[in-house]
Amino acid sequence: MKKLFAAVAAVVIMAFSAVPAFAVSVNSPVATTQAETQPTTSKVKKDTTPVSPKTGSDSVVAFSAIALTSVACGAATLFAVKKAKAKK
Amino acid sequence: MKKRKNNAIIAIVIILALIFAGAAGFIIFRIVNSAAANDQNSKIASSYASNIAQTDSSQQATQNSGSESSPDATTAKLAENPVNLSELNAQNPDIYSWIYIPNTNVNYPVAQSDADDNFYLDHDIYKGYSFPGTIYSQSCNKKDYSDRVTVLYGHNMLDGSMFATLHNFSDPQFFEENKYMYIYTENRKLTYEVVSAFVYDDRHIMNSFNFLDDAVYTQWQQDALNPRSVSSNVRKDIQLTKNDKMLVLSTCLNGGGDGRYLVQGVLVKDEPTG
Repeated sequence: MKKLFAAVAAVVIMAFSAVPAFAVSVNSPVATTQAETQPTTSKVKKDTTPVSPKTGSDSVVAFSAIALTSVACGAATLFAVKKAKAKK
Repeated sequence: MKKRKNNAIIAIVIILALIFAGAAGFIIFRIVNSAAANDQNSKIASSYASNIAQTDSSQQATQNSGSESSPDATTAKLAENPVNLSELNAQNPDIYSWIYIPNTNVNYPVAQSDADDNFYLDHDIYKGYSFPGTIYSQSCNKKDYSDRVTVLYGHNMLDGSMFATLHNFSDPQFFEENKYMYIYTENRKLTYEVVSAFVYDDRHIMNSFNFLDDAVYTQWQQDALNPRSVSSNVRKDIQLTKNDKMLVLSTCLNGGGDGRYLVQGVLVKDEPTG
C-alpha cells in the first residue's frame, strides 16, 4: 500500500513538473539573485571645475595670520606699556 | 569698568597669541612635511631612476653629433629606459610614467588616481598626506599620452622641488639651452621639444577646450606659439600641425596670484625601450 502511494505521488510530481504551468515552485534556502556585472564606468571623483588645480606653495594665509597677529600683539603690548608708564 | 577693559585686552592678546601659534605650527608642519617629501623623492629617484641623467647626456651627445634619428633608426635600436616603472607600479598602480627635464629638479614619477582627480595634489606616491604632492594628470587624459594635449600638474614649491624649477624657462638663455623634456613609460620613451613657456590664466585647460575640434586645437597651438603673456619664451623654428601631440606642464606663479605658469612641449620622438 505504501509502495503504491509513493508511486502515485511520484507520477503526479513528474506529471506536474513536466508541464511548466503546473510546476511546483520550490523555495530554495540558497539565494539566487541575478549575477551583477562590474559597472564599466569608472567612479573617479572628476574635477569638473573651470579653474586649474592650485599648485602654489599656498602658505599665504598662514604667513598673513602670523604677520597680522604679530602686529596686533605688538600694538597691544605698546598700549599696555604706555598705560603702565602713565600710571606711574 | 577699567578692570573689564583690561580683561578684554588680555583676552584679545590671548586669542591673537593662539592664532599666531596655530599659524606658526602650520608653517612648521609644512616645512617639516616638505623636507620629508623631498628626502623621499630623492630616494625614489635614486632607487628607481638612478641613471637617468647619464642616459640623457649620452643621448644628447648622440643628438648633437648629428645622428639624430630618422623614424627607422629609432625602431631599429631600442632606446634605453633608466626607470624601473614596473617596480614602482607594483607599489602603486596609479604610477604610470616618469618625467625628467635636464638641468631642472624635475625628475619624478607621474601618477593618476582612479578615485579622485586631484588626489595627488597633496598625496605622495605611497598615498600618504604630503604637502608637495606628486606630479599628476587627471582622468580626462589617457595614460599613454595619446591625447592631443596632456596636462601634468605639480606644485611650485618654495624649496625648488616639484615643478618650481619650471620657472627656469622664464630665463631666455635657459630656454634656449634646454630644448627637451622626457617622459618614460614602462616601454616607451617620449621626447618633447619645449615649444614655449609663459604665464597663462587659471583656466582648467582640459575642461575649457575641446581639443577634439580641429579648429580649437589649432587655435591652442597658435596661442602656444604666440602667447599673449609678456614674460614668455617661444622657440621660433617650430611648426605645429593638428597631428602633433602636446604636453603641458602647469604650476603656479612665483609671486602668488591666480595665473599659472605653463611649459608646453611637442612630441618629437616616440621610441620603444628595451
